[in-house]
Amino acid sequence: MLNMIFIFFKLGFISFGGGWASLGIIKQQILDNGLLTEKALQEAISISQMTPGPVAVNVATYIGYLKYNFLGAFLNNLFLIIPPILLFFLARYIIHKLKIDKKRVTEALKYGTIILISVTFISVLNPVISEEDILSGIIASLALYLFMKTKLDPIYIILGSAVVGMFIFS
Amino acid sequence: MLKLFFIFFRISALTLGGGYAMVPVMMKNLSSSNLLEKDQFEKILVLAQSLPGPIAFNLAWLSGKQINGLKGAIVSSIAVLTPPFFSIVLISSILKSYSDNLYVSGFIKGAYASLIGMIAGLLIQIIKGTKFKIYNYLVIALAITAIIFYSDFTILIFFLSVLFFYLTNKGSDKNA
Repeated sequence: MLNMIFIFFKLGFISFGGGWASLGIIKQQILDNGLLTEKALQEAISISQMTPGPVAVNVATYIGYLKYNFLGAFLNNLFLIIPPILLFFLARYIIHKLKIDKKRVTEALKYGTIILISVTFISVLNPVISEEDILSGIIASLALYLFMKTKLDPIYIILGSAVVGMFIFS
Repeated sequence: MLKLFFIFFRISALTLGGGYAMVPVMMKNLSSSNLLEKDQFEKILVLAQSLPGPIAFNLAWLSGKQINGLKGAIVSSIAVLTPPFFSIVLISSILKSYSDNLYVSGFIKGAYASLIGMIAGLLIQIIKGTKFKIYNYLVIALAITAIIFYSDFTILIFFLSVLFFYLTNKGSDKNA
């Protein structure tokens, strides 16, 4: 259990740029530690997108609950939020002391987010490529098109694809 | 204080689609109930984005703190975390008994596939939103490769890269 909690603690320090950015790191760390199988992890990620709440919190809860019930879910959440809480207290001091320019931090973090989201993209795409899953590839391309070309809320794209998946994968 | 709790509880329980979907809803609710002005919220948003952590949680903590001190921070944070916690616990206990069902697994597989497309879309949007700097992209490529092969050092690699972006950004400002 310590292994699992530590993953979410580490994640608490680098979860910049929203839930999707952190997904790749979560996925990589969970698989490296052999906590869940690729399939179980994909389930965790999909469910976390479709339920209310921040994605990182949902994944932490889901995995914690799956592995160690209530206690696991609680501890994962707790350790996920300890790093930001620590930094809330330190932030003003650090910014003042080191004369850090907030605008430049935001700019630097944008490039940092590109790293995180690329890692996420590679790690979510990986199973689809290795299984030569053409149907998933088609859904992904359609989702990309809708995401870029329409103003449709992502949650409808996810739910729509899920319904399509219910028919074509069964 | 109770008002603060219910605002964050309701937003968290009713907003689907992750933290960033909650940002505009929070701003609207806090300003319409006269707890936090829009420009105050925007200042908080900048800080929330420059710190790690789930954005919805960071916003709840920081706005709660601004409104009602440390107590406010704790109350809003608990309010924002409770609904997802219990909805996930509920759903995963239901799902445990249906995960072998073909329709359920197809539903999940479809949702997962759509994510791949949208993450690609988000990546394209973010790249379009930043200035193209060749050295930054070399570092990005190196960092991605390093993270994939040396996952133990993910945090270190990430922060070294961000430090590089921060420091080189200074140089380009001087030239301008």
